[in-house]
Amino acid sequence: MRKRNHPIQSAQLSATEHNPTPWLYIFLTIICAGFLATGFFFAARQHFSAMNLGMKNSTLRKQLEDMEGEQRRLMLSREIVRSPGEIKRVARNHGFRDNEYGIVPVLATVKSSETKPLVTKTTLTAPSVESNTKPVKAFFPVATAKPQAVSKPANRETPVKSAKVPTDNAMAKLR
Amino acid sequence: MKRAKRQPKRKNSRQQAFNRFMLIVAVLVIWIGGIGARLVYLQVQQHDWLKDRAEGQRLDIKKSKMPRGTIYDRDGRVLAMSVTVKTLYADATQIEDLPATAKAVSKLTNSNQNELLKTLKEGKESDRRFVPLVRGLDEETAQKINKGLETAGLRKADAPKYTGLHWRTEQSRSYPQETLAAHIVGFSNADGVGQAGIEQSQNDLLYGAVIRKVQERDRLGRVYDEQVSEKEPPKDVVLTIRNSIQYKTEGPLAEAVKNAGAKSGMAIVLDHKTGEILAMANYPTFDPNKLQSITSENLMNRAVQSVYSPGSVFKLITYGTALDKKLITPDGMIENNGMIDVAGHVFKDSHGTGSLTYTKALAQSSNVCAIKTGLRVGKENFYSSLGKFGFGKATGVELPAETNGIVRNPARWNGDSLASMSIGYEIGVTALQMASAFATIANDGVRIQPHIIKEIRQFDEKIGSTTEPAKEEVVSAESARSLRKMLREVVLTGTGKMAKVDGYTTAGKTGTAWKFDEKLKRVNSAKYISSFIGFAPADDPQVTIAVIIDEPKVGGRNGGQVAAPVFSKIAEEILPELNVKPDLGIETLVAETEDIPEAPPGGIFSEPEIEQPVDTAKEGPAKLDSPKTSEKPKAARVEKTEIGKTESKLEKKIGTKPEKKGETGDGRKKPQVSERPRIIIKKPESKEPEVKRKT
Repeated sequence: MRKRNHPIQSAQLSATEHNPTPWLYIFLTIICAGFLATGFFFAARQHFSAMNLGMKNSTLRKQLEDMEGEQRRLMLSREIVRSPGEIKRVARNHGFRDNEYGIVPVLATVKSSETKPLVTKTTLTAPSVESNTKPVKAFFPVATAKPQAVSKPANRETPVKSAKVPTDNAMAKLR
Repeated sequence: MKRAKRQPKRKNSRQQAFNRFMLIVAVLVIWIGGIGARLVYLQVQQHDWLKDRAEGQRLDIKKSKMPRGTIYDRDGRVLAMSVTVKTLYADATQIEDLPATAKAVSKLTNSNQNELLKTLKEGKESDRRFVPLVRGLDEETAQKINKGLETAGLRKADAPKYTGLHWRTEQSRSYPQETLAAHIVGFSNADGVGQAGIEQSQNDLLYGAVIRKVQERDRLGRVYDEQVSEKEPPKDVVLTIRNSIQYKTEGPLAEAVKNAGAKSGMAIVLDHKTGEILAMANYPTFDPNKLQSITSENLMNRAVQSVYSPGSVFKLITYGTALDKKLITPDGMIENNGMIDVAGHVFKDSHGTGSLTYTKALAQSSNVCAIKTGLRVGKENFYSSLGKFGFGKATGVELPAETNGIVRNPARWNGDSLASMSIGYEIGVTALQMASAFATIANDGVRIQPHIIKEIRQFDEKIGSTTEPAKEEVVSAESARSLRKMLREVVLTGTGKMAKVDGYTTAGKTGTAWKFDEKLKRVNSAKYISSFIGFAPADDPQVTIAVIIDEPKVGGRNGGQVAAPVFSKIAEEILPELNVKPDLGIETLVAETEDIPEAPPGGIFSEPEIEQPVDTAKEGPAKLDSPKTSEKPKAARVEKTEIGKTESKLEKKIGTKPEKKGETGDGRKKPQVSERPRIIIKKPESKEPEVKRKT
């Protein structure tokens, strides 16, 4: 009998011995679980924050690239607008003409003394009314002639030559 | 009994529970085992495939090129720049409804729907994964199209959110100045590889680096992590040229070439104090934006790639060497009887003027005097001087395909070679070499290597490197000053009167040479190279300008008539821009002395030394009047022995011949420019060139 009852007693005893301690274990377990959960929570939060920042970073980088590209495009547009070819085109559209043929009025050579000015004009009076003195003639070189010869300003050291166009005979000779 | 009966029952129920438990365990074990086995299979057997697939879902690797480096002028004006553009393309294999796609795209891009559909169908039939639909779109337009092609509910990593449509980023190279400085800048091909000019020579610096981006994406295709790796980024090149000066150089040159009916022309503006090339113009030219308009004729940068016989401008070297060796003085006297015999070869001057100063001899471009001076200098000294001035070797300018020119070793010279070289024949030079020689004199005898790259900038706009040109004293400063005074006389009273510039003193030398004709295999008296090279102001030079016109046909053909006015125009435009103060009083309608025709022409080789002008007249253009000569056979002999057999084909080209006094090369009378009465009208000096122009 003793032997039969002994295990029961020991079991009862051990049960009575362990009864006061589980709360502590439970409490500790809960705390650990709490820490763990908090850790996971913060880790997850960090993870998603990092992902969010990465996305923002990527977007900003793309924006930067786009802005740089846009800057280049604007710089290029500015240069195109300022280029001589474009300016010429715009000027032509506004009615300006190229000075290709150098049609510039050139003063005739004058033999008068150095004291006399080349041209005297102070008022808007008609020459025929004003006096007997002959006005200085201005002439236009032939438009189809050599432009380089006539496009020089009048105040050059060298005398301005009238343009000479090779005649048909001369050209035939050349050929 | 009851106990006996109850016990087996209890035993059975326990056994049954045990069995059930074991069954569950077995099921779990099998289940877990199966899963384990599957995991092992996936992890071991299909590891690579799964890894690739996972990375494909998560990682996105993009390769793109950084924009090619920019080319600037010295003031920061853009000469060549790349911009990124977008291309909308279709992966035809992914698209099911082709008409709907064509309709959607055509609506947003204003393109032809039928054409788009046709393109898509062709792509679909040939399973093409890249079918470009719209090219060259900027970012703003691309965004608009993206919005328009938004398909609700479609999960797609890249834009536009439309099945089978994607964007591709490309580069477009633009040259905003169009034809301006085209030969310097060059151009690059569709792959971004330089093909000419600076684009070619500096391709390694300008080449756009490849960028590799590893992007990690979430399930919605949003990038949350990105790793960028790239090679060394491209650099920007800053040139020494100035846009405005280049424009002011190209304009008069083009005009002169057109007016003279010339084949081509070149002009160089050089800052001799630094060796910087401020402008280098060629005509005909091309637009690098229009590659289809480029031909071999207009592509060539003749200023550095073409060799020509300089003619009388080369007398600078002859007199410069003699002055430096103290063999002559500017005011020293020399006898010119109009003829000189060198090794059996008679050189004649068009005008034997008796005794005259060396200054006058250079001003009149006397060949006899130049030959006499050259003979006094001697072979070795002359050859040594050629090397010092930089002839026979490339200048080292940063442009592709620069030629060395042709200078033969003295051991291969003939009896009259020294005489010929003294007046600019039997030698081949480039325009840049010749300009550099004049720049040396302008810079008190110190030769500074010409260069066209000012600095290399890194992508962050910091200066990477600057060019340090080599310097070498060629002649003494005193000799250079004396030579400058002699060259000044050329403009004042000699052959270069048309190089005068209002308000500024100028100095320089004219040159006229006959060209070698490939077809005739000898010089052609109808083909000239006319040049004027000089600097301004004469006393304190600030800039050196070289103008060379190839084969002028209409009007005067001498350097003094064709090239000198171009020099004058260029100098007149750029000197005020360079803040050079006028050093001359205003003179209008001047010219007190009669015109002296350029150089020795007929006289120079009254008997052609390299080619037979008479033969040319006979065999060439039917009625060309060639200079009358009396010693033609000798000339023919010289041609054969000197060049024909000993030198290469290219070297043959160097033998050319100038024209006769009072005539152009084809025998026509030169236009008389001094018949009109001339009066000097001097006005009070003014320091402002603008004021001067108004008067």
